Amino acid sequence: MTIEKIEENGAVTLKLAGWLDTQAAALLEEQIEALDAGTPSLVLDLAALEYTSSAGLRQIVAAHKKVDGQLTLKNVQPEIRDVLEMAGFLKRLHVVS
Amino acid sequence: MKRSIGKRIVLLFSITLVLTILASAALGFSSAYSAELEQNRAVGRSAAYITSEILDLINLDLIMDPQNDLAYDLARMQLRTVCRSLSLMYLYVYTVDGDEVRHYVMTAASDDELDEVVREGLGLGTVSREPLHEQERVALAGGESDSRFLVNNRYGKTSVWTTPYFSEDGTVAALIGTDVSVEVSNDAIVKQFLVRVLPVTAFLIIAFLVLYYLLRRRLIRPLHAVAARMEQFDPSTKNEPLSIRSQDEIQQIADAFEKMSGDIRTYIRNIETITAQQQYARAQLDVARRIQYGMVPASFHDRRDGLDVCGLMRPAKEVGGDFYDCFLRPDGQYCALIADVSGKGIAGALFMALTKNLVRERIMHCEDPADALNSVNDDLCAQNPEGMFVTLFAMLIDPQTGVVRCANAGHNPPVLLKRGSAAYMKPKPGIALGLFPDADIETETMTLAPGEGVLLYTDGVTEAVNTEKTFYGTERLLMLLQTLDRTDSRAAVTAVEESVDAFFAGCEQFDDITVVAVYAAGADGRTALPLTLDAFGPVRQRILSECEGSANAKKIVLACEEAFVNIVQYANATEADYRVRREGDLLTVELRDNGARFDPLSEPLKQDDDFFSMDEGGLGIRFIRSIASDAKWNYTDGRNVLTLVFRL
Repeated sequence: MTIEKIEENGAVTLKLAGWLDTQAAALLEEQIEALDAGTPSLVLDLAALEYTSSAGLRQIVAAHKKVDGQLTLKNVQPEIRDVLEMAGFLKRLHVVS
Repeated sequence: MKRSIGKRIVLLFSITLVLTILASAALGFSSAYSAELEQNRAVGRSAAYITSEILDLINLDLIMDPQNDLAYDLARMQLRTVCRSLSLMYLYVYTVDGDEVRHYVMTAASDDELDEVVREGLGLGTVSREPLHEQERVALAGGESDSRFLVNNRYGKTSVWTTPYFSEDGTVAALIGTDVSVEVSNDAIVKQFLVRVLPVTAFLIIAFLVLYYLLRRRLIRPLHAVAARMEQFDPSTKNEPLSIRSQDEIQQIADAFEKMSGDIRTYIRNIETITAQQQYARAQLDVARRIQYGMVPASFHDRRDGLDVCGLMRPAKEVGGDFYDCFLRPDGQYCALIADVSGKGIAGALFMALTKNLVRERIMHCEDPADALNSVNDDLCAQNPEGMFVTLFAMLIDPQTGVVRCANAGHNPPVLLKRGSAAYMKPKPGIALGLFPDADIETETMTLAPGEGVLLYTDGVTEAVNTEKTFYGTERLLMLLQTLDRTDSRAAVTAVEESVDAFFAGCEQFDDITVVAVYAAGADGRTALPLTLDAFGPVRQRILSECEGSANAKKIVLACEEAFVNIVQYANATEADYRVRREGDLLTVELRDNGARFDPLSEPLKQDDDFFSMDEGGLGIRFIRSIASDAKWNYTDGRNVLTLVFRL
């Protein structure tokens, strides 16, 4: 699991790659806790994400709360989309292509 | 051919000929010249002698008396006669005074017209003030010079000879000059020269031509014939023998060549025969090799209740002697064995085939592995004319209990694999089968806990040699096995294969490489599961390899991970295990723990509306129930047992 952070005019993009399992979720948690309180928007680029467990999804919920709903999921692959669907997240999250 | 012997001989002869002719011409000319000079001198001397007699007879004073014409004319007539008879051009008498002035007495010439000219022109009373030449000075002193003196004046080109005329009192009274025409003299020299040189030259040229003809016929042509035969030499056709009958070195060469080409034809025929035989032998060896390796699968993988077995054999280029065998006995005991036959080639292949069948048959029928090996040893010793032998390690494992009984016949000690550690076993060494009738191999017993395994290998692994001539070695093997983080036989075998391959790095493999890994999965195929998050890694690999290629693989992993994480994080368990079983396109995963009694399936499911509390938990169970096609929970013997069935 690797996370690449890109900041542009305060807006943050986190590129997630690999397996976001229970252990790896701790890495994402660190990143989200490190975000400034006033971060205007957060984009999670999931192009290279191969797997996520519920622990990963919990961090996505945490992120959503941290940026007051200004969270966008980008490049969601079909397998990840299935998991988000199962969790009922697709209705609540802003997902682009 | 840039430089033929013929051309060289012609060149050499031509140079010799020219040099010889030049030398003989030089000699001939010098000899003709000195002969002519001698002739001149002799003629001059004779003329002077006769002239002296005439002058004595008529008396020089009377002749020089201007009144006495008779004496003068008589003397001059006599002189002319001498001049003509000796073929002189001029004959003249003169005196030289103290002032070195010549006073001519008389001059005669052979030629009538010239004689008219010189009668008055160089007659009595005419003088010449030309400086005296060497001959005249010597003659005035009473001697005769040896050197030739040439005169070129209005009277023509002459070669002069000057002789003194002595009076009665012995003083030089006058000088007598005899002139020979240079033209005549030179003609004589040339004639002499030609007479001397021409025959020699002609002889040399003829001798050269004859010699060259003989050389061509006897040396060059036969050499060409031999060379042409050598160039056209074709080992497949037999030529007529060369018709050189010169009884000399050329014939020696030709005969030697004939013998050599005969020998070459014989050698080529022999080589062709040998090559054909070798090809036949190689084909036979290939067949032996195919049969031999047909008896041992290149790779083998068996996963059954309680056991996980994987075998691999990578044959070397030539026929080696490794084999392994894995089979289930009718009594439910599983046998895994590995062996290395001493010989290679056909003998090794035959011995291997014999041993492999014998060992399997005995292990099938003897309860105890050592009894089986001792019995095999007795048979091998009885039927082993070549003195071959085989090292072998056999283990019988009870999949239900993990109890292992093993017997070692001189084979490399296997490695005992536990999670995160590996150590060489120390079995009794035993002795290779086929050497001595009383091998006395003994059975040793141990127990493999679930997740523990044994790795068998042959010396093709530990004695693999790389480009730096170092052995792979037992230490390297042990270090590799200590890093294994999965209780998976295929992973262990593949790790060894890849490590040895990397060690070879392009070097040729000289010996068979054979590896067998046996893992005990515990009774009922259960594998112990440490209660840390990273223990899920091997489970995930196991599931992925079981449902290889299935689109649901990751979802199945997800459901299992959620179930496992629940146990680790909430169950307060101290022991857990799992087992995975595939039947057709159904995969069953069973998780057991001794933690608090808890039925995850009875929990009410959170609704989608609870999104904002999703980060507090509950998603995992939702996933398990969504993904598993069937899920059961029960509490047996103080353990939670969660059984999940997935459709691949």
